[in-house]
Amino acid sequence: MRPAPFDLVAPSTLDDALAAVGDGVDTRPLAGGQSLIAMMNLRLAVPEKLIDLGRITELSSIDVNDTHIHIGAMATQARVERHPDVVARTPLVAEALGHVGHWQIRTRGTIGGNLAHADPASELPAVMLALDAVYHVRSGSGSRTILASDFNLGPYSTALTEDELLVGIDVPCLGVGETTAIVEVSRVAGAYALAGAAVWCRMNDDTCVASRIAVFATGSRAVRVSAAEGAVRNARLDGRAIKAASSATTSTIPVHADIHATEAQRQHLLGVVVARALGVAKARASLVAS
Amino acid sequence: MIGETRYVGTSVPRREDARLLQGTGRFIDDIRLPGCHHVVFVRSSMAHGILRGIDATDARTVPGVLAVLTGADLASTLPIMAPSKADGGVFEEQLLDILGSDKSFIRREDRKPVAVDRVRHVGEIVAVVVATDPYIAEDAAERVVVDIEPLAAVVDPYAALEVDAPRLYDHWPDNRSLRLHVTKGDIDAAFSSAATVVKRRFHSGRVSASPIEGRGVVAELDSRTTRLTVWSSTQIPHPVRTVLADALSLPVSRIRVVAPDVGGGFGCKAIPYPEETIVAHLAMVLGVAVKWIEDRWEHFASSSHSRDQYHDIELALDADGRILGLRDRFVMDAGAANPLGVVQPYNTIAHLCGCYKVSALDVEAIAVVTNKVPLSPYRGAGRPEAVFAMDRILDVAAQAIGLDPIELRRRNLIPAEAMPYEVGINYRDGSPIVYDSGDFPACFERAVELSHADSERRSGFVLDDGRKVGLGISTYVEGTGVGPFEGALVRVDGDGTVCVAVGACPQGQGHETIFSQIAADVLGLHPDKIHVTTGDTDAVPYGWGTLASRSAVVAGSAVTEAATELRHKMLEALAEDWEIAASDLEIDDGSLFVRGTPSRTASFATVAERFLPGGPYARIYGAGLEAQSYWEPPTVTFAGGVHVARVAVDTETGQTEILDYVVVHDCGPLVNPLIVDGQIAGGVAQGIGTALYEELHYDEIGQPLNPNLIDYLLPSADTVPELVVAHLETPSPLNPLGIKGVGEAGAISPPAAIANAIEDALRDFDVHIDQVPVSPSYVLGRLHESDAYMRSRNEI
Amino acid sequence: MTSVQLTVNGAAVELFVEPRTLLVDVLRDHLGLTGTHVGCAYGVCGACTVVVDGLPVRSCLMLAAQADGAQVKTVEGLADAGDMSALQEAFHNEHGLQCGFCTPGLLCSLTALQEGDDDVSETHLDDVIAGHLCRCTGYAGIRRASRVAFGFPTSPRETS
Repeated sequence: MRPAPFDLVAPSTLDDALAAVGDGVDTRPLAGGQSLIAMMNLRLAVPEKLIDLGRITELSSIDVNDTHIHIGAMATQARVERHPDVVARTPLVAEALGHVGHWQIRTRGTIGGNLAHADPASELPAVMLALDAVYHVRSGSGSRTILASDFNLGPYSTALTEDELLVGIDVPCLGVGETTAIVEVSRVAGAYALAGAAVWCRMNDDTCVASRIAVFATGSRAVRVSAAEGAVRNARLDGRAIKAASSATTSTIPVHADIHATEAQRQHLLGVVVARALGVAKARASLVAS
Repeated sequence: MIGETRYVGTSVPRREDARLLQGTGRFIDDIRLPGCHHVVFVRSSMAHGILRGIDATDARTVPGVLAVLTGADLASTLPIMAPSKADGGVFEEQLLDILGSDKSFIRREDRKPVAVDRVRHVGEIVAVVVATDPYIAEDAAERVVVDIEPLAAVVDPYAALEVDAPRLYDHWPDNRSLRLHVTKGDIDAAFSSAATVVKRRFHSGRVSASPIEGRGVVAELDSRTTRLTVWSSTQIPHPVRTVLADALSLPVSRIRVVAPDVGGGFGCKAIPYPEETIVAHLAMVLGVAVKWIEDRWEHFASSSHSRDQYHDIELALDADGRILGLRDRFVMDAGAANPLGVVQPYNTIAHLCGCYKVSALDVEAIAVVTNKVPLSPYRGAGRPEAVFAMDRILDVAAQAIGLDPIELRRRNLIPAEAMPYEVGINYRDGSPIVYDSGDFPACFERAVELSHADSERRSGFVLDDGRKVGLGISTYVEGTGVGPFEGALVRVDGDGTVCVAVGACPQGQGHETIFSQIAADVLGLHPDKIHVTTGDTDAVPYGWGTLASRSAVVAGSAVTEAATELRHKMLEALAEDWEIAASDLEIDDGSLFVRGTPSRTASFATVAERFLPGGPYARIYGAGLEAQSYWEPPTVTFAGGVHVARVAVDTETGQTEILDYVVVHDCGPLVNPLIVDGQIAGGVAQGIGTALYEELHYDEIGQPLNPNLIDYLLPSADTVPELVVAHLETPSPLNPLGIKGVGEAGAISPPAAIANAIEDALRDFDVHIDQVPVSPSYVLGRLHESDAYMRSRNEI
Repeated sequence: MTSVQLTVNGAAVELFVEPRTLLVDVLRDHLGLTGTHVGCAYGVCGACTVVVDGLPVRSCLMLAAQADGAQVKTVEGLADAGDMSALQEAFHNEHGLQCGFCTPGLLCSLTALQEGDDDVSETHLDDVIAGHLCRCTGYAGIRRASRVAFGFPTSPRETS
């Protein structure tokens, strides 16, 4: 229940951190530690060196402009969850964070740490897909951005290379007529979801003009369900359309079985959460409209 | 006449709270001894295999490592842990005699504390690392190379019963570790004359007690006194001392076992474990204090599991729905050993008929060994499994007959006027089962009333969100206060202060408080003036422990008797001294005085001083104002109750929410109502865990699939509703306090009540709920098999 | 070894520890504050929860080094020695603990909640309690004690 030995550096600037990341040794960045230290306590992760990012204040800023909120990778989940601009303008992020573990985890867990860890059951990667967020990445040799749809490659696997750090994420604010929702099935509060869906819809009256429907807890990476998005495109979000989106999800998303659900059951549950998330999104749109 | 009752029956706040709330309690890992070394165990990563070799060379080079020991190293000095009377064997021989050795048997295996040539479950100890600190010990443990040649593992109990199954114990004729067969009445006549016969197979899943504090042991040999002190997070210090004395070849008087503050036990800490023997042995041979603290994976991989029974149960009823006979064949998946013998399966047998009149009974229990962690009793100890089978088959019968499950039970409940009621079979202590007291119909009707089970608000309707509501009911009896005995020493010291030492060993039940209340009432003193010691073999020479809902009854009765004797001694001595009749004296608030002449008083201190050696009372009555009692119950005294669960089932996700939950419980008079309600609430929460969330999964080669709190789901606050709890109090005639035990009660009925409720909710789809936990996956699977459900989905 | 300076229950502390030393072990072993307990070592059970810079944190998931410069409060620091805070009193009066092993973590979470800036709703209170596993109480006493401490109404305890 205690980690194997490792070296620890705690840079106070991003440049120092980037230099340490690329030093070739089995080195991992340490963000909030809520996933990494747990794995290290179980000795499932045995890095030789950790780079504690906690001193780099620029990484935890939350900046708001007209169209986006830029969330620094080291902003804690608890802080982001309650940030008034996040709540008002990117409500899906705040709503999803309420499902992430418990408050006592979110006080240390970070947005960036969660996204970089890419746990298949995590809500945030699916949220970023639904919102078409853009990931900001830095390395010792430069910077780049990665679209949400390109970031998650597989379970615990992202497009980050070994010498890169996720430094922040640009999350688009909700525009007029846009609505979001997240629904997950989990057996007890804070436990990993059995299936989850995060959706974004742009509505024109009753008609869904565009949507992004992302699912998580499939057993692999979070993905958008293009067949479901197709089923509701330019359609009224009525029972028939929602059911079509649900069925499309059930039949097109590959899943893994585990002790909590068989493959077929997980696929079924994904269809259920997509349907329910669309239902909530639609109800919210009606509320705003009225 | 015993002092005017003032404290028993009141919710005296717990004296344990102050240290626990302030963080100054002392749990096993809080015991810090100078120079103490730390143990980490290397455990088998295979379920079944031949231990070919252990290479500790690399491990021994880690700086800070004191020793790495294997089973081979320990074989000569640390013999097998022979099953002793300490571990449940005390009633066993007698019971098997009564049942007849032609029908019933038990096989036990002498287990080695550290595996020498064979491993039989993932988690079995194969090596022991001792180092200066736990971080280093873990580092070294990782470097121990273990060579195990795998053997075929057997994981399914029915597969283990097959003729060609892999065998765990080569010299056993098969994998059965136990068979018990109990009959009464004419079962064939019952079934052949029945108007209705129903049959089902039910499975109570495998669970882990999972106290928030795991196990742990600290041992130190005092070089001056040559005494070995062993602290263990245990429920049974005295039996552990017996085991250690055997294993270490030490006189009992050279060993002291102490249970410090224990962070929950629930039964998994109520058996002796190899870790206790090993750590104690290490303290003896290494010359340093030694500590081992279990981590959470270890708890899942080595602390005993429980339940895991498969019942093929059949009920025969007449045309009016009256039970004629009950036949049950059940299999218990014992895991790799059978440390507590007949206890769990026999409790199941003994409690199967429960509150119902059953004139013909034929029940056979078979325990089979498999390559998993061994079983021992966990809260309920075989009773939840019995109740699950019986209350489920009753609901099945009700459906078959077309009767309301509530009405069916009414027709079969043993009425109050039938008490004391002889069930017709024996309890595991060898005595015939007699329900000494209780009013089952009154409990039942109160539960029906409180849950509105009879009203239109009952069940069979759908919530706005589409979830289906169902209601389920379950009743239970619980034999409590089992023997063989418990001890109490009560003493008034020369300064007038009172101390009570009991053999009980609490893990949160508030013993320091309740035994002070009991003694206070007898002695006429405020509880705050009475110091209570528990869980220490030096404080009470003989003891048994806290398990099986027994301590309030058995230890409480010992306290009552000892305090009563002490009181008489005080009164007699003072009366003689004052030349009056003892009956003219009273005690109140720590003063002895003549009734009607309150100015003539003597304090406890005055009286006690006179009992000191050489004092005036000592010359007549013997020195020391003290008394002891080892109270042996005549047999168990029966508590009972009724639970009603109302649930909402989401047929799309398979999830169940408990909307409300009613408990009506009868454990006789309540010593401390606040504590009793706490025990019930805690038990119900564990029952909800068993009913909906908790199950240990293994793969086909015996690898545990969820040995962690992420995938083994303990109920959290959001899953446990607020309970409605009501008490009936029919006193027990079997002990001086008239009370019955309550520790396990809450956990007995939830699986049955909740499963009944879920099946009720899904009545339209004719879905059978035959196992607990009723996981979402299970419900979805059952719905998928239901034609009615699949049709209803396609119609939307 | 790395140097860590922090304040624990108001007292300044300096330690030299291995990078891998967990905050919970610093508290328990180096500082002798054994009131904080370890139940799982991976953040689920909550027994190890302490208050760091005003927020509840799983001390089994924090390296001591990460607490450099932080203000840490443990169960021992919730009141003066021998005294009890109103929260602790509420737990005592409402039987909010049995074995007491999960209790310090819960008290720290609730203290952080009480001392925080935000208004606390009953839902929020329940969410915070849901972040702690208790195997003894069935949460009944914990809920009552918390409601009393936060000024929410409680239902009558017994029907009888």
